[in-house]
Amino acid sequence: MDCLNLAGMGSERTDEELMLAYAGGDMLAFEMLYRRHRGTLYRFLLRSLRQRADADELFQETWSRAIAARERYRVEAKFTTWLLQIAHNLVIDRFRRSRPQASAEEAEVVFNQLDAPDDERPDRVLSEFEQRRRLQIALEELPEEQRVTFLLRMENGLGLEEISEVTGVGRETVKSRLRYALARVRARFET
Amino acid sequence: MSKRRNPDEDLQRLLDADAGEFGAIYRRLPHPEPPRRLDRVVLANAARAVRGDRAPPAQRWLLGLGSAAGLVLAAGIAWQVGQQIDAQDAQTGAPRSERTVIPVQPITESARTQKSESVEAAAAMADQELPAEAAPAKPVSAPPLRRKATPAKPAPAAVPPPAPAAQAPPLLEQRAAEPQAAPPTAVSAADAAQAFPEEKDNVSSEAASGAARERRDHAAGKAVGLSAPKAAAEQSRAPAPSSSVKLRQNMHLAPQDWLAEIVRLKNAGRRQEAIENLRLFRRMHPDWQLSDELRRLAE
Repeated sequence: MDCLNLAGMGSERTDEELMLAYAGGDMLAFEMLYRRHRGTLYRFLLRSLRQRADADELFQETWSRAIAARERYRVEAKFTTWLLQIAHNLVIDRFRRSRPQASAEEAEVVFNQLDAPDDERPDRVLSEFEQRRRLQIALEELPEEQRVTFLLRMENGLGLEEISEVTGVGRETVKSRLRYALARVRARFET
Repeated sequence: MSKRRNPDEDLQRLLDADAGEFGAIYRRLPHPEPPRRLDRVVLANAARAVRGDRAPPAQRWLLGLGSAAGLVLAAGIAWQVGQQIDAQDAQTGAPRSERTVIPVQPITESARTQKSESVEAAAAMADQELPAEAAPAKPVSAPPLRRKATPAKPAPAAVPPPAPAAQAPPLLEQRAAEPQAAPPTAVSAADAAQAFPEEKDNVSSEAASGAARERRDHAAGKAVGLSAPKAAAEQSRAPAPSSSVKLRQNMHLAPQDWLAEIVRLKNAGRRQEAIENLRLFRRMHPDWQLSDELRRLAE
């Protein structure tokens, strides 16, 4: 794809500038913007939804909504946050339609498993391949809200404030979800 | 020894720049990319949205241009159709309801001035002897004329100078008062005498009335029992009988050519037309020596 070969072009312009340029009709600006965020957005969706078909659908839908809302975009919002908000809302809607949330009791079970002896930590003995496989399984098994929060941190590199803004919950809630998610992942490595 | 974990410490390590130990593992996971199909769809949507923003001005411009072109085309077609209808009317002589009234004009100013003397002389003579024929000299409103038809203008002799208004009414009244008492032949003569004013009033019917005029002339000659010289004098006094386009065209011919045309008309059996041409020729060229053949025709 041509736009993906425009390496370096427009790198001096911020996401926000590119988005404003696109809102003014600059298609090249959009191509640069898309090239920057297509991969991270797609992986966030794929690992959140765990189904490639769903990820494809919501990936296209996310960009379509961003395109449609280009004239309402304001620089006060960071572009990444704005784009992920759109994606997150779509993901949550899909979760609500598909299946119920995981119960909170499951999290307590996970925390109890954290009291494992240090010498029994599985990451010490697992191969690299096994580590990646277990992390993938752990992500898939996470409750949806925790998984999304964990992915926003791991895949998109967002901080607590930004995750809070994207997900629309308080900062402490974000911290709590991250703690639970981390405990579950670790539990997967220690079983 | 077992070492219990502190969730806050784990969280803090997760929030570090490298996202801790799980961050390292996560970065080694496969990096799936969106399929090219999605790239094409998204970029096409974005481009279409931008084009959609810009398109309306261009479309409005094209719409305006198209409307103007359509109007010009429609006007052109309407004009062409009007031309064709006028041409058909000119050929068929069908009246049109929307005809405009145009005052009768002399053929041309130059032609009028060239023969002014002979015309005035003839008209004066006609005024003296046949005032009723010249009386309706009002510039008549003219007959329904076709816009594109060849201007049917009266022959110069048919446009006499204004007659004294006092002279015309008595004769007209007299004629109107005793049509019943007059014998049939006299009625025909009166009709023939009234024919010229009608011709002046209705230029468009001149061509059609040419033949009728010939018949009236004949009828008038027979009715009054005029002798041949008197009939000839009567004919010579009469205003130019024909105002047909052909006759007017012949007026512009050279004398020799005109005479040749008269001979041709006579030989073609169009005797009355030849006589009309010859009569007008003699008015316009009174000093021209005619051949015996034409002199006999004139007499």
